[in-house]
Amino acid sequence: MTVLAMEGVGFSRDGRPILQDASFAVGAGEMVALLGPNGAGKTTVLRLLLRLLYPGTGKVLLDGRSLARMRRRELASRVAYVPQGHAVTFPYKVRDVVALGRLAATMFSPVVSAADRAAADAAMGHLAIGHLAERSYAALSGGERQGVLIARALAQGARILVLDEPETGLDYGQQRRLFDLLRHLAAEGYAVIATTHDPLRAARTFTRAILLRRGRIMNDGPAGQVLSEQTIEALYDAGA
Amino acid sequence: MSLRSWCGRLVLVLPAVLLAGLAIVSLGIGRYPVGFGDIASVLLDNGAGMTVERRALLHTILFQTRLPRIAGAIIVGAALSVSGAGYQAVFRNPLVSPGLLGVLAGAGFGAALGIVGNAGATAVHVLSFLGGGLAVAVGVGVARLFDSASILMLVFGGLVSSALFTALLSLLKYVADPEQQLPDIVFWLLGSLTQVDMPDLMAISVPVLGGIVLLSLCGRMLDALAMGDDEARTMGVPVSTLRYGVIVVATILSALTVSVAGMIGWIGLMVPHVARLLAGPRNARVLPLSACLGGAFLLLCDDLARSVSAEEIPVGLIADVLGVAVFVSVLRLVRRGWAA
Repeated sequence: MTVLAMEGVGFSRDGRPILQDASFAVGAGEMVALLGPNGAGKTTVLRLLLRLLYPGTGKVLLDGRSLARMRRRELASRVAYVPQGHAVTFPYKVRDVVALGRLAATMFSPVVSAADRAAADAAMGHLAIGHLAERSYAALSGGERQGVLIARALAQGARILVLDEPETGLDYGQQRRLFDLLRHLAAEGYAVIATTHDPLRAARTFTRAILLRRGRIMNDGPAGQVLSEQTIEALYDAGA
Repeated sequence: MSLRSWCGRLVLVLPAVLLAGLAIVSLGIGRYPVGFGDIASVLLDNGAGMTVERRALLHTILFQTRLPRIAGAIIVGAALSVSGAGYQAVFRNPLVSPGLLGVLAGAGFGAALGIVGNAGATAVHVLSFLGGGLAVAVGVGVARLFDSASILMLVFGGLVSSALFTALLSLLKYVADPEQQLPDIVFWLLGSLTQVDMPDLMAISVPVLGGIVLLSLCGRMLDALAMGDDEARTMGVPVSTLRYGVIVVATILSALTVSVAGMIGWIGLMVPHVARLLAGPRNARVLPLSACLGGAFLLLCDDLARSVSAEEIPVGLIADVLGVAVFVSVLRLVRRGWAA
């Protein structure tokens, strides 16, 4: 069942095309890797799916409805963004960061209600990071931060998770735990879409891979099949 | 209810109680000392046991002379502190003060314009308020010239605007009559609550209280903004509306304070830090707590201003000196909050 789709989407900046004629559809339970060399348009695709950019041509569809006309709060309740684990200037506790996911659902209420706290606790419990709740987010490691941001996405109530190079800055063990977690979430029916720089891991872990080269979709299919040695070399111009 | 949430509530309630206590103590301070017994008697049973003359005298001193001043100090201190906390939140930077976009420079210029033009006291207030708004409009306008609402461009626009209005203020000082107008301008810029009267308070208290409540209600959205613009957007927050809305409200708050009390700038940077130290970084707490602490701090400064020497000291000076002392002494603790 398709939840999020692009139909003939093009996007250019300053007259230079960055993405051209991109079409694909993602269903619930899929775990999709977006791969390609730097500058191929991966981040542009993510930003279009999150409506941080609007397409120049074509449409982004959520459940068949155009994203462009959707209300902010409705969109937030359906699609969540998991950025790279970043630094935050003020020392928020993990619990506060996760509870922020409830903002859209509670009409921006200034008070964190008992229900919000319960949703935040449930999300942290789901990812087994409840022990971090009282820690300062700024003091966490990269892997822990990534977990907190995923918990926030779950608290947001969204069933579609969009991740930006989630493995960045994580050691091998942290990467494994992270991707295991994403796999579990996909198995529960979440749609997971992530950019990644690791084709080998993508081939093993993701159910599907979309390869982007020079602003066009070069290949799209089951990750294990699409990510053959030849396509990876062609994608990154590594064999030349 | 858990111990933690009790502590959370206490951190908001206790400063409010302290502020009220300090206000009552402040009623007794001044040239004509009034004992606590008399204050309590006047406040509680309207001076029942006093002679008619003494009751009238105390009424004049307490309610016509000191109360407006006390209320003025609280309102101005609260407005500046909340304004500073709001600016720090939308700019994601703990070193930002309400003057960032040029509001203080512009308001100073507006007041000086009124003084040089021999406008009346009311016109000086109004010009000062308008000058503050104009300077921020110039700052934001310069930022928009480059087709971007980014934080960096806004800071740049604010620098340009501050420089412009500081230069214009210097020009006015240069052309001002050195016998009468120049001292007036200088005194205005020092910041003082001596001119605050009841009509002033009536004019500013409602917008100031409204602004404080409005910003406090945006507290959680400002927390989301602290995570970054993109993230806040994907959490449903209308980022540009929020940023410009907070800037407008915080600017009005600052400009109102300058229009009645001159330049009292520094506490807008300092007080939110102390609030964050006490209550953590969540803006729904930081903003109202900043209001309480800022009001109490400026009231304390004003009590000193009118009691340490026979000749009154401008409260702006005391607030700056005392503010620096407080800031330096808490800096080590506050720094922990700033991410590495």
